Amino acid sequence: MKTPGLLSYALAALAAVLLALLLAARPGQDPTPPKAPTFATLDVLVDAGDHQLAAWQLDVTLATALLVGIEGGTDAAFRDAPRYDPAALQGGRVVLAALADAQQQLPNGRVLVARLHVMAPDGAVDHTVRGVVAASADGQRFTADVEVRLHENK
Amino acid sequence: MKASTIRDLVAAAVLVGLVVACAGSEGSTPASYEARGESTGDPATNPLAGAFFNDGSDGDIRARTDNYFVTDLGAVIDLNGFGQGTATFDFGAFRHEGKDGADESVDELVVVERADGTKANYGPDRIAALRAKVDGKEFGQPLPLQHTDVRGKVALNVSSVTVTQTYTNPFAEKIEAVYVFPLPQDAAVSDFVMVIGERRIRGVVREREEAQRIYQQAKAQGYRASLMSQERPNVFTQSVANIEPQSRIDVETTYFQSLPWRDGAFEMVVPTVVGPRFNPPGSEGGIGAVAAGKEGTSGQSVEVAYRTPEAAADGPAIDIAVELAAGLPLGTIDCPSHTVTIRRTDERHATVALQKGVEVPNRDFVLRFAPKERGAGGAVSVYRDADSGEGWFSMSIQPPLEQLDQKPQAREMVFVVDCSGSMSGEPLAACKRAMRRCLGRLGEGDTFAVLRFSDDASALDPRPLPATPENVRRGLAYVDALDTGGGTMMERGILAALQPPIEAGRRRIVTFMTDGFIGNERDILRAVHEHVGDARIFSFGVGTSVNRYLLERMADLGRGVAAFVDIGDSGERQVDELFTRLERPALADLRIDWGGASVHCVEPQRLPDLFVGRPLLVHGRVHGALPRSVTVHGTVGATPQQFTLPVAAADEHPAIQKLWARARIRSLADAMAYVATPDELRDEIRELALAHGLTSEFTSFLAVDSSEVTAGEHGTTVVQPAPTPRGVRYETTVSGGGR
Amino acid sequence: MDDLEQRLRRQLQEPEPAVPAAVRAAVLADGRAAATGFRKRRRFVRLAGASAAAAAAALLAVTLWLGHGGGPDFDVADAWRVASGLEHDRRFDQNGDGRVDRADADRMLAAIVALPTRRGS
Repeated sequence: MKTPGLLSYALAALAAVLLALLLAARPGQDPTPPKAPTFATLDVLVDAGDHQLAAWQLDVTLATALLVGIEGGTDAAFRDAPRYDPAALQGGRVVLAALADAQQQLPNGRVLVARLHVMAPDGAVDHTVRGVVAASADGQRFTADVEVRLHENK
Repeated sequence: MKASTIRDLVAAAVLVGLVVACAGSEGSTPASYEARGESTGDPATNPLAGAFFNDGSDGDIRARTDNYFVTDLGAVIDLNGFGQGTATFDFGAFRHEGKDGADESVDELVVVERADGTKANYGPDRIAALRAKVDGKEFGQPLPLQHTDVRGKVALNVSSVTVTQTYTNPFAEKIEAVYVFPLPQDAAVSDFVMVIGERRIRGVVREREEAQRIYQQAKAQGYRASLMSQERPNVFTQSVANIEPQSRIDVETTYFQSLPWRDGAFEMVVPTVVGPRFNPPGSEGGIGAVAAGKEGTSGQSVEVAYRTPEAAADGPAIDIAVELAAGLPLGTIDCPSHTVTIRRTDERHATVALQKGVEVPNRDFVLRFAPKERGAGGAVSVYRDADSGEGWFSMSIQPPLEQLDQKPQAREMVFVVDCSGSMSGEPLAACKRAMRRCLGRLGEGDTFAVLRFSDDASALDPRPLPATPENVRRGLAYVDALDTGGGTMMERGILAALQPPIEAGRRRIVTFMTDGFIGNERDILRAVHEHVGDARIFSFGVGTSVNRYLLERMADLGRGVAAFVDIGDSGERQVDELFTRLERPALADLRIDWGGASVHCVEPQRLPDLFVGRPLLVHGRVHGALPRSVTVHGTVGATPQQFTLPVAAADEHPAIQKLWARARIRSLADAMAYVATPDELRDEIRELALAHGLTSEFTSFLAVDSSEVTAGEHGTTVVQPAPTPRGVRYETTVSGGGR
Repeated sequence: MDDLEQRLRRQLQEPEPAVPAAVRAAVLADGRAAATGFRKRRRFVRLAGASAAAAAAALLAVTLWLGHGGGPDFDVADAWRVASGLEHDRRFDQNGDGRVDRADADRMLAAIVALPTRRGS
């Protein structure tokens, strides 16, 4: 009796691999359906220290998350939604600026000045901040720390 | 199940109400009626599935002849056995508002209830999803749009307008509100804010499909969201998702607009309603017009639902106020469309507001104003980028044509009258008045033709006739006999006007009189582009809510101008202006010499003829300085002419950049109707709109409140119906509205 | 007739024989901008007592200084000084009441946020 040759084994193995690939590629058989995107907010806080915060601007660059809305802050002086640059947004860059409503008392200390609403297709909301300018009531620039806090809705 | 409950409630109740109403008449006890509802859901998951009805013969369901307000719910009567569903009708006590306004308690009410026993939560201050029609008037239909507020600021020739739409949810479950509404066709929509209580969320511009995807995701996950998409340059759809019961969401939209100078005044138009459009058989990409409650039946990709004129009187109102600051002492201020209060704060400033405070949004708001210095019709505005030296400008050009003499060219005057169903009544009457005036103004050497179109096109005579007194009499008799009916096959009217050969030495002048209520604008513009040749088109919009986008673009393609006649208007002024324009010199074959300045990307790319009283508004880009003067070359008749005009130091305004982008987008979008490779244009439109933060056919405004998930499922969609425009017959224009 | 309009009219009297009456009127309509002109790096004039953003200044009043008064370094600190009335430029103040309204401030911001991208920074 003739035993199968190496070529036969190789062909059988190849057929098995192809079959496996074919089965794996069949539509509707993927056990992991695409993950639904998640929505989250990024709270932007400016620490004005002892200064009265009158105006601010900064850039937030989002890695993969998409900006879907820009909200003002909680302080009455910065309740109106900040302005953004639509051209920059096409590159995932959110350039923001706001002036205080001068009818309101200007805040100091740590101020929530804006809330960015984002959708994260992959669940990640990586971001970097730069270009911070803060101005006090007398129109002078001062150095301010900025913190961005992520809030995810689970 | 929940997702469709409200839709079913509405659908069922609308039908119940409508049919009940057929039997109800003032002062009489309803003798017989039928109440039925239908739903398309799955009976296994939707307890309202299946048909349910009561033919009224046993008196189980009563209708009253007046308004319905729910105050209480009483006994439940199970109507099992009707159809395959388990829907129940709830007969409860309700308040009956008598003729004298006094309340009286009555004992019958039809309310649809879910079969699982959970009643829709109608409280004393809520209106049930029951609509009744009594003596032709509808009552009780809950609607999400409560109010529209329009605030405009005008400085010289640039207006900035903020439109605030207030949506509430009168239902017991969450809803998505959808509303199709108009904006001016050249509005550069630049800002979009969703307001929830004191929170203001500014929207962002994204590609249309991406914005739609994000919106749907947000809606499905329970986030409040708003989406505004452009359906036509002057028609938009607003969607607001996850409005919770008894809560409110406002959407603020801000746009800029260059105001045109029209025959002695700047003109600002705020459209308030999209007129009911006709779509040729077989089309799917049009704008359908259906009766409220018949949503989804037009077969068109966009649909407007209409309330009857009687019902609309009780519907959401609009409030309009405009601040004027023309930069120079103000002269006349006139609002031919509405009764307004004009308050002049000083010689340069005024405010204009509706006298009643609010009005039914059923016609365009038209405001005309002029500086005291007559003839001032232009402005130069610029916005310049500091680093690159690149600038954007807007320039109004008006050579002193009135100083020239011109021997009128022999003309073939072609008058085309839209006799479709939407023109019935007052619009056709206005057309006839204008036509009589036109025929009376014909000159000895003119020839003329009168055409009508609806489903087909026909003419006074197969060939143009010399304008002899006898022929003019024939023309008048033909016009008097015109009647309306049928669809708006506008393309047939266009071909009938533009295709026939023309006698050598004559200039064909075509005047279209129409409301422009068609949904296939691009087909029409393509037909005009292909057949216009050397003819000139002067479009006459007739009605209170004309499709100005179509009329303006037809005139642009035909190198003429558009004029608009309200239904109450004699049309004499507009006709006289037309003939005055035709009898005065027009500067044709225009070319602008920018005096060595590095000017590029000028819009419009194809410069129109210049007429007295209609300055040319040009948007463009410039590298470096603007010229101190420009020279306009053209021909008057066969004679070359040129004018050198000084360029004033310009007002600087960042909106100019957006206005240029909007003009450019409009030009590209128009070209999509007739170029072989529209994909490139599509990409350019998209890039321009995204870079400048503007809505377009391919970009939408989106705002999502991702800070909070609202409870429950996202509910169902409630379409906000619009009123039929004033003067337009609901029965002849709205599908399911009586035809 | 205020001094601005007088200046405008004087400008229109300058030799310009080719200017017909209609065009002259059109130029006059451009008046305020023509009269104010633009001066590179124009300094703001302090206006004592001017109050902040809320008035009804016209849209025309927003004559953005990005290429002129402010330049590429213009930022929210400069904008605040104008919007709050600490500094004043007649071009911002259509009705002469020394105030710049909220809509004007918004447009200043729209221009400011566009600067970093244009600068490539």
